[in-house]
Amino acid sequence: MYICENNGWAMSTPAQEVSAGRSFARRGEAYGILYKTIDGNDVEEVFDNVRAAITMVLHGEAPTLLECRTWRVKGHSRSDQNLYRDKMLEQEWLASDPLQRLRAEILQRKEATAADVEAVEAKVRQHIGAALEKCRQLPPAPAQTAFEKVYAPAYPAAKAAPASAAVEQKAYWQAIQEALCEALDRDERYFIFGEDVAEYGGCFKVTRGMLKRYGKGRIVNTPVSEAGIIGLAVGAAMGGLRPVAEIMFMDFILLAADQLCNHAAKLHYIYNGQVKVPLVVRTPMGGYRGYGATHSQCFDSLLMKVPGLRVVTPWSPRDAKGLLRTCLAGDDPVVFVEHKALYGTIGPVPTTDEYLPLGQAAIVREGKDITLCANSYMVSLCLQAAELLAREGVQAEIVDLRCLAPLDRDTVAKSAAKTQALVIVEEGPLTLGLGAEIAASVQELAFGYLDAPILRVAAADTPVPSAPELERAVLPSVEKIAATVRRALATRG
Amino acid sequence: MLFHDEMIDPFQACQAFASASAVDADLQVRLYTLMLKCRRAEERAAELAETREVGCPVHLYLGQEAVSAGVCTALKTEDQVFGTHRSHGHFLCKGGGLRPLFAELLGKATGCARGRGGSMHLIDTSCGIPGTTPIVAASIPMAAGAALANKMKKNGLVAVAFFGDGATEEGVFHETMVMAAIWDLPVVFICENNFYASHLPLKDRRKRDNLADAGKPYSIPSARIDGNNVLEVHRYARAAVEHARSGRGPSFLECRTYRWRGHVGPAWEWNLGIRKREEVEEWLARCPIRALEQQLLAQKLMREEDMTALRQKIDEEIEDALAFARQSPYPAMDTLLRHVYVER
Repeated sequence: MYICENNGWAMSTPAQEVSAGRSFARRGEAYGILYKTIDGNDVEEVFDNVRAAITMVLHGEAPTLLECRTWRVKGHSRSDQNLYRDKMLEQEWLASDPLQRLRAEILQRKEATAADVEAVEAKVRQHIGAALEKCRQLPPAPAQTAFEKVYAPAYPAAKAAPASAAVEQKAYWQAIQEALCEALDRDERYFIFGEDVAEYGGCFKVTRGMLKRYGKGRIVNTPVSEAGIIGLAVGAAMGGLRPVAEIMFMDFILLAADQLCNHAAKLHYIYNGQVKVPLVVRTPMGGYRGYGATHSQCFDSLLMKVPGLRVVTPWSPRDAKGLLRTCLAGDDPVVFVEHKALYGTIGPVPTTDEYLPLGQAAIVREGKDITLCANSYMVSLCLQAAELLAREGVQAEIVDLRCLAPLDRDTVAKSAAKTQALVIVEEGPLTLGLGAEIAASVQELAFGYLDAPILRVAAADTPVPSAPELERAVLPSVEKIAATVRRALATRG
Repeated sequence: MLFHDEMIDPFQACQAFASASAVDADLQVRLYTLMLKCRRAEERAAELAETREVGCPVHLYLGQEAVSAGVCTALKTEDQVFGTHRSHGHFLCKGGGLRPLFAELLGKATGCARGRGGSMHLIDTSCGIPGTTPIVAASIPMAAGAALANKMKKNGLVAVAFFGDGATEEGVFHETMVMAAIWDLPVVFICENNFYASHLPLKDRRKRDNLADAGKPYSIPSARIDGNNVLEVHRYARAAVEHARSGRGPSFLECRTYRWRGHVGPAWEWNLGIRKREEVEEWLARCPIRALEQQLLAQKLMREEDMTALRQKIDEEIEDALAFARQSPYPAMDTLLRHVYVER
């Protein structure tokens, strides 16, 4: 049931100047939504209509839209001096003040005497005054609480399979699907929500076959409405469900940036932990496919800058499953960033259930000469570069960050302290990227150990072009990583 | 009254016009030529995608040609059209060349976007194609913005937004409809309802099959038309363009058509469990080009042999364009950092 309070003004702009059509309410017509415009200053009319609307909604008639015409008595906010409104119009509306109207109505119908009404008014005034006085006497919130409740606390304890555990070879997409299916099997609050996720199985086929297993009630195709997808998922999460939303390409997450960054990420904090938004948004990033500027971007490091969001960027099938299980079990909004180039890669996944901890990097290759720090698909490139360098007698150590928020700065710093040299590899553009953050952190934590300048390999600061030649030139490559390592080591003398 | 009254509906006038007048013979042949060019060029592009010679994603417009041909022929060269990820047809019908199109598909320096764009980002500013955008619905505000510029510059030009049925589900569609309506912008919204957004059928995304009502809440004149009937598309587009050009504001056309192939790539996608073979075959039988062919023959505006000759000529142009694209160099590496920002 939607209630549109049409108070006639958008801050200082009159509604009729910026609205098309005969009324707001009529917009319901195009969507099969029942609509009505009512006098929002007549509380009895509002009450009766809302009661009718509730009945209709409860009987599954349709959503309803009530446009209540009312008036904002004061300016928009404290700084608004309310100088732009026609005084005549203002007087007219003030004369139809909803309180005065109800008061007059009650007295006329002799439902109460003037003395009764005044007594109620006095009681309310006294109540507000007392509350205000009480609040004034309260101490201000202690400063340290500003750092609390950015994230919800509940995560399952980390549980990694022992090295001796049996493994199966699984594709990255399959590992992700297994984690999703486990959640859906275990708990009916989980559901999959996104464009093309049902029959088609998602743009990159991660949810293929799940419709048959779980039905349309839990594998839900949505319209092409990214803001709506994330927005509704936030609402569903606040309403006690555990939505797993899919955004077809990470580029499209910008269409939902408000719902994700201004709402999902902040509600738990703003309301001091009273609400939780247990939401996982899965989305694939990355180039190397000729998709061009609007379908190739990596916004993983952009989202790192939004406190309240978890940003997880698995490289291996094992991590994809173990980290997703943890994200699904947790209570925070998570952007689970997959990579288009990794969906088909195959790797060992333990047969026992793992909960891999967020914010813990992994050493995926040991070496003594230089540390390569990367995430997602860049780990694959680093491994190839390390093979190349090994033939030149350089042993590179590779740190897979796995998760960007929280960020495991210590593991990188320890590795860099050991090898005394660090190259950071990321797929997003260079400026103010992941590399900048890691480089700053490592020089804070391990300055005395470094024997070479920290260097970065990243995409050029350009949009990603489509032509294969150009795309190769812009994005990181094995050759670029190897060359940067050589450059770092050359400064060692 | 707080709100605008309903505006004059250009399509009511159009209906009278449509029944009274015919599209002249030359224009019918031109429409046929344009549609055939789109069809043959895309069938060739599909082959190149199959053999992976074209590496970028290719969203084929096969089956929808009547919409772009009918609309673009109602426009002046300088009028702007904004397209989508599925815009080969818009590009060719508005005046874009086969050579720059094929070169762009192959990622060559002679492509319309110098290889930077690929199939989804087509441009030719010399004939009113300021760019196509593959982010769903983004063509809608940009066309309205171009219309705003036209209005402010008083240049008498009209902007057109092409978009699919799925684009009406994005918030920016609704935001733009309001602004286009309140400022009477010279813009025409062409919604190509091909009944699928990627692989999602319209019936799963919309409560009622009433897309043509989408303009009504904003008092934007709207009509539902047969998007496979190029003459009907053209007549309605002409009415809408005239309405816009004369300063009476936006209008909305739901052109009902069908995407023959899959969402992306050359596959027919018979067996994905998304759409029934009978449904596809039904639409194949309603081929917009064949329909016009029959009319042209019946009216004796063209003979079979004229059509064969035309097809041959178009195929030659396509092979020429492909050869040109193949011979063209890849973009030079030293151009890589250019045009990230405006150079002065």
